[in-house]
Amino acid sequence: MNYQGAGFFPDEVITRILSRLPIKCLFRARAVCKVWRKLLSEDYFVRLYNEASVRDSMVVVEVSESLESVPTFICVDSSRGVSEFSLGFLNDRVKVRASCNGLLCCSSIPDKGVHYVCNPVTREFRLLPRRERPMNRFHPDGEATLVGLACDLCAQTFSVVLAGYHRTFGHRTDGTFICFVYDSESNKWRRIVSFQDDHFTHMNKNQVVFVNGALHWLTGSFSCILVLDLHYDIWRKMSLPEQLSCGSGNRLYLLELDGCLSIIQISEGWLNIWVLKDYEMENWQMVDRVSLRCIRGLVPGIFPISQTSEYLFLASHKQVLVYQRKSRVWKEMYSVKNGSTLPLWFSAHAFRSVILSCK
Amino acid sequence: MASSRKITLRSSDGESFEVEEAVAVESQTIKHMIEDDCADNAIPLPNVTSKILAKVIEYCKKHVDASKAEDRVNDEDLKAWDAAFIKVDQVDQATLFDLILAANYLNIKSLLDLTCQTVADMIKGNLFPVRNEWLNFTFSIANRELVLVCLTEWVAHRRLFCS
Repeated sequence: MNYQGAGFFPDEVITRILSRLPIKCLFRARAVCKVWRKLLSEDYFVRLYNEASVRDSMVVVEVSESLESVPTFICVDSSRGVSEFSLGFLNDRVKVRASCNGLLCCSSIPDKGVHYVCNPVTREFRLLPRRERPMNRFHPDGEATLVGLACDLCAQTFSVVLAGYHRTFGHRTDGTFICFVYDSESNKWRRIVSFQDDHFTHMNKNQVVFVNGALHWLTGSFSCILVLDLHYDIWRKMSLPEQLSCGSGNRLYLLELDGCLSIIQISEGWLNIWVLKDYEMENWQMVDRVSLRCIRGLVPGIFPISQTSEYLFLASHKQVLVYQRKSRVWKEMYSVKNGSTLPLWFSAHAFRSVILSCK
Repeated sequence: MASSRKITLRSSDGESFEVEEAVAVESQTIKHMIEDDCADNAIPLPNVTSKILAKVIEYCKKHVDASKAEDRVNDEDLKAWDAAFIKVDQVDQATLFDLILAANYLNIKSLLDLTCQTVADMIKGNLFPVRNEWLNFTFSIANRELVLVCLTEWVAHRRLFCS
């Protein structure tokens, strides 16, 4: 072979190629070669990597043999399938509470009030400082009603939000909504108090979306989205248009799609994907209408978990499915083997792989 | 407004290609040369052979034509065309790598992204058999770390072993 005039690849080409590889194999290769180690810490590479990984949205699910056994996790990826996912580096039994742009917020199971933010890929984590008031008075079981993680990839910072209704001992809630916000730069918590009267389903609590500098949750009544603006520490609401509100038999779920808010609307026979392309104008557009004929039997117990413009991941009690939008094909990616316990959708989160230090 | 002026590009092996300006300026490098008024006669491209330049022009032509149409369907058709364009069997890895270098030199972002993604997919799918002619054996990489090390080695030695 005669490479006339051709030199070898310049560094920026190598970084472009590497940025498109599964990060696990890059981090393992780091030990093998100095060149790779240097490249993996270069800003340009990190930025390219994180931009490219948006196309690789995955699902992380907790799977357990029984309620007593140690929770284990799997990661489902549309191209690579199912792989083991370990949070063992935290040295604690944890429950995943929120996921945002490659970071996970986990709570210790034995130790209430202990929270971690970690990057499972680089295996770095930060133990969040305890909040000033150790006795938290969230209703009803001492845990925050809403847990949100806001990860800003560009600024390489993150915030954690724990919010819930305040209840003094022996009394009912008085509508006071207390919100603690942790900021990674200052390593401190701050407190915001407001009044809310919303309630949330389990999926509402699990599915929080961070876009435009704010965290978003669907409310139980499906009529609006509750928004916490982290720039100004203000809660507000976005109402949903008529076509999106909960009609008879419609269920709504809030997901992210390419940096925009997206709502998946499921009825008996159809799944509609809505995207809020224009955030300021609150202009929702239906970008796809999927027939649920192929999975008719699963429809009542199926929940959308994560998506890209090419595919949509859903979880049921025992399965994780993926729908390829272009080819309109459904595929089962994972299925629980034994009788098992909690449904898979109960603890399934959207996930993607990023290079971000959260130490 | 740019007229449909013809630009002549000359490859490293002396072949001339006449293309419309709109196609030529898909390359930011060529675009800057035209803006800087270096394009009176042919634009010499000493780093690109005629074989590769022909492919690059084919790619740019297709993308310029596609950007003229408005509807969404074209996006998917274009993606399919890209996939067919870049489909390289193992013999033609050299063309793929030359395309990467050309896209980098000519600064054509979409082609660079396409070719780099292709190499990454090959590595991911372990479809990266490194032919080491000079050491007289071929081996297929099953181990990803080895693939990455070999990529560096291949890249570093490519220069050393070319005649």
